[in-house]
Amino acid sequence: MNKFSFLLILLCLSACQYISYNQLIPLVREATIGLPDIELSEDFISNQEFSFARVDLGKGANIIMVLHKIDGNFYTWISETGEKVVTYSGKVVRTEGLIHNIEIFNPDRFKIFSNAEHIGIFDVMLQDPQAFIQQDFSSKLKEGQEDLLILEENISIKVLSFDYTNLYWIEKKRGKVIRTKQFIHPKLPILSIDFIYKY
Amino acid sequence: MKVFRYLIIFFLILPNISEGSINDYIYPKSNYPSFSNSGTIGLIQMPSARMLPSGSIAFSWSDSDPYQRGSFVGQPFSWMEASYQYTDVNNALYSLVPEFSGDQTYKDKSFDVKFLLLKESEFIPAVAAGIRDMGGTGVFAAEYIVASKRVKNFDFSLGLGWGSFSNYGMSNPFNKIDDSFRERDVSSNITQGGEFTTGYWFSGKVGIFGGAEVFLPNMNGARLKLEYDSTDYESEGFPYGKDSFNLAFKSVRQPRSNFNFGLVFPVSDNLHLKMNYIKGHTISFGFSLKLNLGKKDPYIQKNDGPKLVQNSRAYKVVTSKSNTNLYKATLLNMNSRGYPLRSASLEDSTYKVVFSQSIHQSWPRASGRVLRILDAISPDDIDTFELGNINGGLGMYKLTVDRESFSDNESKNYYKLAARNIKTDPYDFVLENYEFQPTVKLPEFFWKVVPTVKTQFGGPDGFFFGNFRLSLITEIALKSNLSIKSQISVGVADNFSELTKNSDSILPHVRTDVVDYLKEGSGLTINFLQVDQFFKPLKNKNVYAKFTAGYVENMFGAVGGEILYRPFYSNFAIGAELWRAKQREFKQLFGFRDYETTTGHINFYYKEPRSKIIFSMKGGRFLAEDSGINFDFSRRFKSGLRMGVFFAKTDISEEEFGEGSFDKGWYFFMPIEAFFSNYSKGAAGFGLRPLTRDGAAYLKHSYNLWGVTEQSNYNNIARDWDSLYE
Repeated sequence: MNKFSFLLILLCLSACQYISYNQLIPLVREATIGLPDIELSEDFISNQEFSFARVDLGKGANIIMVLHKIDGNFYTWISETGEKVVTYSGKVVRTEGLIHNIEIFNPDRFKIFSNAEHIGIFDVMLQDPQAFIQQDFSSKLKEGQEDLLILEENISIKVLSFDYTNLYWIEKKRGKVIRTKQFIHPKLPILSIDFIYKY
Repeated sequence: MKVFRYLIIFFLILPNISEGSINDYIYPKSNYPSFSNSGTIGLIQMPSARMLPSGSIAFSWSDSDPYQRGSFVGQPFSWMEASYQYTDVNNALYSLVPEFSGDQTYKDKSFDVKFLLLKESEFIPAVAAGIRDMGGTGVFAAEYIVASKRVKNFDFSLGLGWGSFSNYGMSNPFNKIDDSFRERDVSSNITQGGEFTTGYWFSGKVGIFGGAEVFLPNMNGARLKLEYDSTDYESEGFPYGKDSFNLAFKSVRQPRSNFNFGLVFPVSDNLHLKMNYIKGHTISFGFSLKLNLGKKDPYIQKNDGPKLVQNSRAYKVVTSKSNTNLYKATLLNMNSRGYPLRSASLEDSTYKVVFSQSIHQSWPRASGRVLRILDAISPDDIDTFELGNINGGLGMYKLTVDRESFSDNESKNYYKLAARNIKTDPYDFVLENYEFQPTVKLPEFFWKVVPTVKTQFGGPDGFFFGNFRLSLITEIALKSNLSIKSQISVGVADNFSELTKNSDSILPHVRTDVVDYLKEGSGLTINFLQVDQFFKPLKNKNVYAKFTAGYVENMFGAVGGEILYRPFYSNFAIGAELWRAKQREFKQLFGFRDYETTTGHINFYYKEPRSKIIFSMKGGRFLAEDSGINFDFSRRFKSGLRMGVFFAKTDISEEEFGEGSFDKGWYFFMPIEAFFSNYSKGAAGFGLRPLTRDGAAYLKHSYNLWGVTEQSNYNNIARDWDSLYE
């Protein structure tokens, strides 16, 4: 059920009690254009004490997650409301607290730097509902604009007939993923993340 | 042989998918049953034994020539589906009098009901029995028993049908029980419509129907449907034009095939689109929209947590120095969080606080949030909080809380343990008993502007008429228990000009002039403007009273009052109300019409604790001066959704009452907070009567005592202890 449907129903049905404007206006906004983006302005970035990621899960889900822990290439990001995302070189390999969560059992198969096309299989446990799947992947690095490289990761989940492409923007100088768009779960919309490293 | 060819093709083209939870991804949304063209859960034209989850409400619409059908469906229990159908029959005029009908086609209204008799298990199918068109004219009357079994991605259904489901009928197996099942004599049941005619149920020939719903792999929950249709299209509706009935004008194409095919495409879990090929020559289409509001926070997780007190330690140092400091800190922190402090008193180690609130449906949640504030700011030597709640200036409930227990159980949300150390009592509020009485400048003025919609569904002039309005709602509090409340609204857009039907009632027109009220009241109106005073006439007796005067509803002004006895620990309440009412002018401003009357009722309420059914009875003299009883059954769900049905019988004859025979209808209230991330008490209500008549009409005065005193009942508090720490 989305809020737009509810709004339509409400306008047709409300007969006895009321929805007030202070509820209606944000509802209309959320239903039509989504919640406002958190803008990564220079001021905003400089006011943050720690490294953080702006995570966008589509309409109405734009959150800031703070870098909580670094363990090799594993970065753990947590939000104020308890969601947790673990990335491995920028790829989301484990989540907690989302509506649907995942865990990739062999994240080290993911490589951002490879001379040729890199192919393999990810073993993935989907949660909510729980199911084990395998993802065939092939990834290839391309030149991007200015000082960026773009990693294209093509993934195929055969059992679900689901093919898609994840993108990773890599800063040449530091070799770090600074932006990504990736599907992490069949029941979630595409996830966009901007990584801001403050070290 | 053609049949078998269809079946073989149908089953062979579909892959047999491996089992396991991966099926939840291959066949998403397959747990949600789909709707038939008759508006209820089923196959294409025929029903199945599937049900929506308890607490669901739904709307379904379909176009299958010659019918366009809108259906409202409610699932009050997991074992019961109830629905109301409004069907536009395109081959018949509205009435036998062409001048009266104009271009209007025949509109049929009916109630359907289905009961789950047996739940599905590994080897046993779900079995349900249902009755179609039980409260209408019988144009679509049918009964059925159907079984459904899910096997992998196939959901098979097989059933027996009576009445219009009995095509190619065979002998009725119930004949062996009683000979009365042998013949289906519907002629004896022709009435004004609206009666629950039972005499012919499950009688006559029996037809067999069946089919399957097949979930398509990796198609976002899309499903194919195939069915064998046992509808007897020679008896349903008006199949042969004038040869069927005088008001019909065109014959209906009879089926070329009894096999129907369909495709359902779920846009989301709740919105389904469908297209079917039925009767061998007709394409039908439609959609359904459902909401499952049975559970707590069904759609949006709340991010409206308690606003914790900062600098708790510093507060405690300051509040320990004087009672005044404590009172002021309490006032500041409670009022800023939406829990107005009404009075407070520190007595030894017990801190007594009185508050009101209009944010939370759950009283434990509201109380829990106040307790957190008190725990954060009160000196450590206070070991007990006594929390009194008031509404309309009247004491509602009192919680005596062991501070240590409340605090210790908070971090792990052991609300059950905390609740064991909370004593819940009835409460009489006496302001003078409290040392601190914050000054409230009277009169207080509250207002808000809200959008509202006046609607009329299912009338003879069309399915939907609406008037989008802006309403100014005000309240002037003269005292804590005395206020003037109003709603003044102005219409922005409407389609009421197409309404034409005038009242044909022989009773005083207390409701049937609704078209005049809608049309003349499409501009500026005073919806209500009334003075309310609430009081408790007897001390410590759980007796509540209200006096009201003014324009209490759109059609009537009144002077009168209500009294209610609601024992705190009981599931029942009993009360009475008496009004002198005068009919308002159609414009709904300050004027009146000539009709006035005295109306009054004895009201009885009972809440059955296991089923959570609220039964209420209103017996007495109604607005049209008829006497009788109104019965109302409703059920409240954890989310706050309430759905119910009502009917009334008074001392007027069926002829005096007119079409419909007696007053009846259904309603639901949807909690608005279900669709937001913050808590609120608001609800969007919707109710529908098949016909607006004058019999059994009662005064709709706002702020009735049953609603105002909701929290003055132990069970209404105890049901929500799980939200104490939310």
